[in-house]
Amino acid sequence: MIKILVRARFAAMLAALTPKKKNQDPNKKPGKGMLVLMLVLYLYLGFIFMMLFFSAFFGISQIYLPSNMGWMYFSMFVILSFAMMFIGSVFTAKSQIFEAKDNDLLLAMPILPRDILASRMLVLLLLNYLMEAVVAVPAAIVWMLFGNGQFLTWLGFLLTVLALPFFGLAISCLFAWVISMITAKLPKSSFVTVAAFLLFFFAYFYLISNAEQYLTLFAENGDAIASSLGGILPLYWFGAGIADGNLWQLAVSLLIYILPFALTYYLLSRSFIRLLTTKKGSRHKVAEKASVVRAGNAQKALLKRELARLCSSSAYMLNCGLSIPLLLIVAVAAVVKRDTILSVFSEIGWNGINNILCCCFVLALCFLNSMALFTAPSVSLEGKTLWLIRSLPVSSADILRAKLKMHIVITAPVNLICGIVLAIAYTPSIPVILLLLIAPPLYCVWIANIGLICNLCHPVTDWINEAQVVKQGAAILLTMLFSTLPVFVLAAIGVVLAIFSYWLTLLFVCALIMLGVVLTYRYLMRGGVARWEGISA
Amino acid sequence: MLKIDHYTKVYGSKKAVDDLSIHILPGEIYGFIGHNGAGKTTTLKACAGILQFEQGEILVDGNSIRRDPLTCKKLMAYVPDNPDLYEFMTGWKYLNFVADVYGVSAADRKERLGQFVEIFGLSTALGQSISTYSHGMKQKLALIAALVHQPKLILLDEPFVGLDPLASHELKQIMRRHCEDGGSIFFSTHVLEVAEKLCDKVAIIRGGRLVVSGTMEEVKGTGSLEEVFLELEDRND
Repeated sequence: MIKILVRARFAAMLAALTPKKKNQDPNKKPGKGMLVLMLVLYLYLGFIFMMLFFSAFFGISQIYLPSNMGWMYFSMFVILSFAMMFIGSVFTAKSQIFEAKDNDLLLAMPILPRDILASRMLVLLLLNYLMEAVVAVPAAIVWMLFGNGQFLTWLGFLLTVLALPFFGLAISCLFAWVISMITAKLPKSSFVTVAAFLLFFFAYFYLISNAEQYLTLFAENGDAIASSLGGILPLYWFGAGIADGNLWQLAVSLLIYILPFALTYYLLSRSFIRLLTTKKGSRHKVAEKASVVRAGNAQKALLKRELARLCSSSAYMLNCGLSIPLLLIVAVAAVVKRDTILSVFSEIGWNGINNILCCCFVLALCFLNSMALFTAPSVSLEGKTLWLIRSLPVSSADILRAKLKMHIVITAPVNLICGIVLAIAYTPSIPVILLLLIAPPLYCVWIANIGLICNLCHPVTDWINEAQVVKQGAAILLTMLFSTLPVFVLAAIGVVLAIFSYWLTLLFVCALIMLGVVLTYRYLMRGGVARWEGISA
Repeated sequence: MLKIDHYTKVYGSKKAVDDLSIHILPGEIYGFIGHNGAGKTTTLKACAGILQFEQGEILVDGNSIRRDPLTCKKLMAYVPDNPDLYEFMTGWKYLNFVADVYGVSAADRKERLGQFVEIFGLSTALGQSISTYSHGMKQKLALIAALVHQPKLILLDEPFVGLDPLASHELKQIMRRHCEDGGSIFFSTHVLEVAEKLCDKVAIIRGGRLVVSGTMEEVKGTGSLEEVFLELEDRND
């Protein structure tokens, strides 16, 4: 039974990655070409993350391995792997386990609730393994190059790699359950979910950024801290169990990974039906005042519809809008740490360091914008309600424009604010100020256009769970690719032209983005409209 | 009001609807009957302008749904068999959204919505999110939204499914009044008794092809519509 359920889950995930073509026979299998393309894209993303972790582990190894503190290296591996798995799966767990649209359907069938739960947790476990691999592969390579080659260390590492995702899954499921219970009882639950996630996300990254400091402290005062702060001990065991080949510590670590999973599965499977039904029954809705009649025009109504859809879904906001808080944080951090940044870069001895830094900020803002993907799932999200907008007397071009506007009204002001703040703080020359103010908001428009095009080319309207399209959809992956790659091109052009004049940089970078915006917009209003009208309602 | 002329819709290599021609005049309630998968919904969707088709022409009040879809859509309303509405909106927000798109003034929408909301007994639920609605409530909301701009032509796909007896009765009254005022209704149904009592004309479709059409008297003769339908099904088997 679990096999059938898991197969259904994978079929849904595969469908999100390989959308059917217009008028395609529904029984026809998806094309292999798209599957291969998606695989290549995932490998590309995985490769980028692996490179980041490779450099991180290289740094860690250079600090701790010479002083024979291999346990610190592996403790960091456990922390980073857990972070990847938790952040990647907590909201997937929430949507796939507690809020899946086919829960009622499956519970009505003669299937044991524990089998339904197991099938969903198994898919999440596989996702956890994939996310762990992104950390584990570079960690293993760096250890192979600079660490010792003891058999017990490798055995411990392998067992940890196999067991750690169970721990990540257990904690993700418990958090997902708690968030689901809290948000079910609150109005504006999507905002509460987003706030909870952001709070956790930034708190966790704050801890990770300081973890090295805490571990160093622990290393320097090992016995004293270990005796007084027993709670931190497991973190030491996790690392030492692998690095020192200590089988007792390794066994305890593996138990710590596996036991919470077993307990979580037992608890959730025992109360699966009650959890789902209690959530629905207790949901508190604030009713609007009776007879609320407000007149507006069609364009505004379409834009409001897009914004309402976005605000109603925490998965949509989190997966497609994470760059908004990140942009603000980067801008604030750049202002707060202004003196430090300037002093570090002034040591290099370049002239006009403010201009160079601001050009880097432009690239950073553009790069961060590639995580704002509001238009990329916007067509797919129409889902079963596609008939509705298609039956109304609004032109297809207006519908597409409303989707673009939704993206732009959210992202462009944030970019503009960041540009103004950075321009005031770093006082670059006039062309660089203009570059800061024009290029990132213009790049938002490019991403909005390219996201919509990608979704029109790869729409999925028969999804069961919206996470399929906002998280794993082909359009999301393609948009990420087409929004990150041009940043490197712009960087290369900017560097070359800046040697001659910043005015040239301003002119060419803005002209290039503008050209992309115009071409993609022209395509949207012609080919895009045709594609939109060809999607079956 | 609605002229379907040699309409053909193909999915892959399969003809879902083949060379269908139907003409609906102002003031008529036109029933569309057929077994599951006969092509009723495919036809209604094409009339509503939400499904592209390969051959033929569909005219709404003389306007082509292919060449001038916006003008056609302003003249009509469509309610599908399973109304999936925007669950992220409340009932009021949804009605306001539809009224905004059709450009209905605040005064008109207040008057019309007040009337239909009362008839369908939905006033207390409109402040709630649509995600909390039952199937019947969604059906009622979709019907109210379809009526808010006073369309000339209403396309209904299985409109009585999910409605309680009272709402079903009210809908029949509304349909009749709409046609008395010069409007037209084209609706599909499996409930042959309802079609027999309500429709001025009826068309029976089988395997995407029109089997018979005409006034109710022409189609059923002295027998019942059910007898005619079953006889046609047997003959074609």
